[in-house]
Amino acid sequence: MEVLAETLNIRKSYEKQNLFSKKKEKVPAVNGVSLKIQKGCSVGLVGESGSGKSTLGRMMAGLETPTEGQVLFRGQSISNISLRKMRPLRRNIQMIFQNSSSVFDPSYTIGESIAEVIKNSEKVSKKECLGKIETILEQVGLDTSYAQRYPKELSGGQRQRANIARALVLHPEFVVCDEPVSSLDYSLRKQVLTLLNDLRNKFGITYLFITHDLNCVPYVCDIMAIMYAGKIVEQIDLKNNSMQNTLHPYTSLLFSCIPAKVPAERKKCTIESIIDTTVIPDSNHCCRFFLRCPHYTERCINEEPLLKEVANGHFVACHIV
Amino acid sequence: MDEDDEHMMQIKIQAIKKLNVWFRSSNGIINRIFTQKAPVFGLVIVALIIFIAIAASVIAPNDPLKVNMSMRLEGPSSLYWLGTDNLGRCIASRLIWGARMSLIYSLCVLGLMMVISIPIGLLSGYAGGRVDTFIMRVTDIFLSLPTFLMALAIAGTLGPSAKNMIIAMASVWWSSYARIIRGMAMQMKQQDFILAAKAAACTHSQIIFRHILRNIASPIIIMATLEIGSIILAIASFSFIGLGAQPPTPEWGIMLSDSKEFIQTQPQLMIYPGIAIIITVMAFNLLGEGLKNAIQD
Repeated sequence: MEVLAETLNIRKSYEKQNLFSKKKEKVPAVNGVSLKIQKGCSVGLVGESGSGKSTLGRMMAGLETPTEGQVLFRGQSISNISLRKMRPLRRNIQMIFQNSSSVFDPSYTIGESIAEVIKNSEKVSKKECLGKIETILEQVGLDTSYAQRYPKELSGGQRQRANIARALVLHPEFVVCDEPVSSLDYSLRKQVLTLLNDLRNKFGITYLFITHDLNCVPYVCDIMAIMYAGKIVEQIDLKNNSMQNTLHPYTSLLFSCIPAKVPAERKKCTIESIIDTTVIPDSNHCCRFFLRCPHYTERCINEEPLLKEVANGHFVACHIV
Repeated sequence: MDEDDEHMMQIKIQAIKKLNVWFRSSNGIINRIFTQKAPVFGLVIVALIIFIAIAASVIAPNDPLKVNMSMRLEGPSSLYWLGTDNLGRCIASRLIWGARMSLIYSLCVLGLMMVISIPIGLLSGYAGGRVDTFIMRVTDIFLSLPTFLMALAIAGTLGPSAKNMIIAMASVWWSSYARIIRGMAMQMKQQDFILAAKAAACTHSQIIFRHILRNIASPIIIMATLEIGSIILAIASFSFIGLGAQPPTPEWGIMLSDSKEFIQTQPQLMIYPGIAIIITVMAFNLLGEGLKNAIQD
């Protein structure tokens, strides 16, 4: 299968300026991620807040420059090129942003914002452009009259759908979805996920689906990747493996935290002996999870685990497995 | 416990009611005089001044430059509405033409300032890094020059004239604007919709002009409106000390300067242009404040 987007050991750290010392503190967000996304094989990226999911997503969408490493799109590096060179690629790399309340220019109507995307990538007449906007708005379940509204006149859910419409209007090949449904209520959530699925089947869109809702993942994605502290700790091909069949202790912790559907099965959301801490060790030479891990050994403190294949399409970075 | 809570609640409600009465009554007065009527009042006066300036040649009863030595320092009459000055020129006509001069000069200064400061501020704020540091240091140099000294230097080298005064004022005053615009551009640059614009394949110039400038346009317009008042004042002062427009141009500052010898015998010669300046400056300030309030809400 054709590799669409790929990251080669990328790292991103943000600099924090201290008030009195000249030394800049580095805050790592993404810590060496190599991820291959094949065409037609959507990846779900799961992890807790602050684990670097969004940063990785933005880098893969070519909106942020990695500190180290490279991002490739169809074999071409997009991690360090100018906006002008990026322009022709933009048609095929789009992003659905997380915070829909601030991603629309307040002085533009929704229609103008979507038209901007179309006009920047395609030469179309005014009529065709309007037609496209109306089609996509209908597809995301918005009335066509919303094209004339300003972003502040829409509710959160409507804005989120407009946000999705803007990203998908060109039918790009690769879309980074940064928590596209987390601000929507459940009925809408289903509707939007179905929409994403439909458009994927219709136009062959591949998603990098960033979420913290594990239930969404199998619905849209073929591969699930779990991120912890800026690293991918587990990657499962959902076609060949069951989603429940996870091995990394952190993934088990995540799964144990899904609320039970049957009252009788309610449990406390902890694994025994999970240490209640969110401290992440600041070293590159240990497993970043060992402080919270119930099974850690000497080796976890001294050596960083690498991703290794344990079953067909199932990778885990853990010494114990 | 419940009774206590209820009692506390009652006290709170009463306090809030009391506050409301105070607040509303004072707010009401403030509202009526300052926030609602004032900008309209300002707008009406500004519109009137602009009308007078445009139609000066039609409205003015006499030629503002015509000297009539037989009619020196006359009182008001049907021919000379506000009397005549020390050279027998019609004061009313000079005031009316002065409005045109003041507006033209101040708009020139303002336009020149904007033409310099908007591109520089936008570039500095958007580019950031070394470009920003360099531009801001240059701006600091201009910021540290006193306007009047600069005007003296320019008048000394190029000779005093209205044109040189405009150049002197714009070349110094643009710097504070560039700073403010840079700050606004920096703030805009960090907004999420700029990232979205990048994802929408916008070029840098599209981002700067179609997104950043479009969003900071209204605060810039407010700033400009508020500034016109002080520019008019500064122009009058420059003309008063002889660095700006030169006599016999009908200009308010020159009228003040011409009549200063007669302050004890004919004080109205100074009072008329003084009042004209005060009203104009006040009107523009009221309008600017009103715009500011209206847009901030």
